[in-house]
Amino acid sequence: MAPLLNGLIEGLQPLTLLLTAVGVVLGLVIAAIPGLTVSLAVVLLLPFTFYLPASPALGLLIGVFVGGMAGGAISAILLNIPGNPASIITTRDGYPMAKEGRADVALGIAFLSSIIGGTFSLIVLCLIAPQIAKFALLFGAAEQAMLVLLGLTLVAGFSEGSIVRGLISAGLGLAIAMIGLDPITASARYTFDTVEMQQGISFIPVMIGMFALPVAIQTLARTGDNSLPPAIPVANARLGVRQAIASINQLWGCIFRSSAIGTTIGAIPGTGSAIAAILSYQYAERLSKNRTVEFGKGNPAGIAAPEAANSAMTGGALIPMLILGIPGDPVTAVMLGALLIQGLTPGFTLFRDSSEIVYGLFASFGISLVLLTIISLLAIPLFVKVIRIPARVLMPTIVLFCVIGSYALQNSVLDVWVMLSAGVLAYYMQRWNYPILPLLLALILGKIFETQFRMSLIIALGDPLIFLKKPISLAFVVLFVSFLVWTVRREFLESKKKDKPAGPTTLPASKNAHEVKGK
Amino acid sequence: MAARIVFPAVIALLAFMYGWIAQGFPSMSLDEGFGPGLFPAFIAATVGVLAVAEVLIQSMSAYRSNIDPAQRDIPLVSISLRELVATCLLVALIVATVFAIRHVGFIPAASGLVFALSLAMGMRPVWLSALASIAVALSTHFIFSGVFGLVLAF
Repeated sequence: MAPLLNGLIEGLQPLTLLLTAVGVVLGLVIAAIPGLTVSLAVVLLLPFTFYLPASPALGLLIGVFVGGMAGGAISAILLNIPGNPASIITTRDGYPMAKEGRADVALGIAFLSSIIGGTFSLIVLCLIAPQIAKFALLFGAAEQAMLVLLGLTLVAGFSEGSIVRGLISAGLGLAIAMIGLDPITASARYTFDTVEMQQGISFIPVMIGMFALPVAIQTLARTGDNSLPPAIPVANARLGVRQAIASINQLWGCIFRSSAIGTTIGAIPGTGSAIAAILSYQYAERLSKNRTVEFGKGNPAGIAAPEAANSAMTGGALIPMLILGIPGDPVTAVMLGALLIQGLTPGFTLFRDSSEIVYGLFASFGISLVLLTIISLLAIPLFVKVIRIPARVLMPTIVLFCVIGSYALQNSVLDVWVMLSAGVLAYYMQRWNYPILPLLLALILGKIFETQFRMSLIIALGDPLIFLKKPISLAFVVLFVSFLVWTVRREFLESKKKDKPAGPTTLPASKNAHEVKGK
Repeated sequence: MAARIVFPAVIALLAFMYGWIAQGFPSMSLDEGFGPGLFPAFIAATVGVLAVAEVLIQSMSAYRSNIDPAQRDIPLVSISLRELVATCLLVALIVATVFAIRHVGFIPAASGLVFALSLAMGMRPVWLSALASIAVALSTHFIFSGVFGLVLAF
């Protein structure tokens, strides 16, 4: 108990408190701007930590991490442009809810779920961090490869359209992920002998282009057209927060389940928040009792699940970083760097020799969550004002942000061309009823999938049965096969019932233009 | 044939080319089976099979269904001229902006992009559109360059 109290005192020091608050605000704002990620924010702030004592430095970084995970939902809900990969899934139900005039409720649900998810992972972090770390160590290459395969198949299966189209989309994402240097042998693949392409295609410009540019094309195509959609109505923001709290009261089971998924996935090094968000969403969709609103059309559980999971991932990701010195995601990798700069070595000795700093970090995490509650809920009316701006005013600014956001990532013009190509591709994929979500997630997870898959085979000296010999991997394979069989059977029965095609190409072109939206 | 058949057919063709290029990747001397070409070949085969399956599913579905025969003969890509113009305009404006930043600097080029897009999207009056464009470019430059310290010289 004494280390916890000492940590709390450390976290409540004026400088630590101030920098934690600055971190939360920066995280919220940066993650809400398409193209600027939490990883970029912590990298930019890292040099400042050189001149700070350990606790304020870590407070600043954890504040950005916590604020950023919640902030990604702002643009996902209001503009249908995810602020970070973890909030890609949030667009599915968040944006439809905003279009119905309930953006404030959607934001309230997202923020409250984030806060609950973060609190859950903090409690787990304080109580059973070493046990979780031991479980995470059971995940070898084979388990990680099968986990990613399962995640991608789930997204392909649950996306709009058929599973075949979903899998084609995921395959395209994996194909793009292969561009660049091979992660194991460093051989160049699909680089057309250019140096720029050797770094591969970053998912950030693809994400920006795929979510933002189709809306710009749509707005341009409808200029002067009488079929312009009505402006998004805005409800009373204060009432919205109350409604969000009422929704949360019906979603405790879903939020706790998603928080547990997020914490566990976060503790597995290299998997990242996107997988946590996907798995929790799929579980929410399958187990939800509230079907008054369909998933993908504004169901509150579709916002609560991914947001709780991606916030819970923050605490989970700290577990292997602090105990084993293995960062769970890019942000904790930077935090590990900050720890090393301060002369602290991660591991069990860190808890023994510098417990006040470790528990100070936990306290800053808790304080970040309290500050996030106050700042985010108070700022909802401000955020909601964004959607009052007409599309013809907002859209040109968003396009400019897309150009800068994709360029700023690596100071590379190639990323701008990637963003542009991804945007055009996404527009026409959606016009022909191909989901874009599987493509994007496959692009994010492609390198991890390939590396772990090949590493498994190399370790097993070429024996593909390695994926069936390990119990956790076998469980994922069984789930993967069962899900494929179940989905194909369901689609076959549905097509027999209808016995007519359902592609939007059977609709007149003008009507199709209305259908283009983020999926 | 409708776009729902053309698109997967194009994907199948691309998958074939992708797999064909993968055959040329160097193999790993340690274990030849798991070199850099393994995964791309696996992806190409999977996507190719799925794309061909989609072509077959859509072809069968089109002929089995009760839809209006006139709708079976919708244009090759079923894109309206308006959409095509919108796509080309957006691409041209972004490309022009990237090149303009190199020659005239960020603020004039960014103002030009926002001004052109807001006019194309129907924002009136023109003077207000011009004023808003300059304000957006200046504030964007301040946020990205001044606050975040990013270099905006493309």
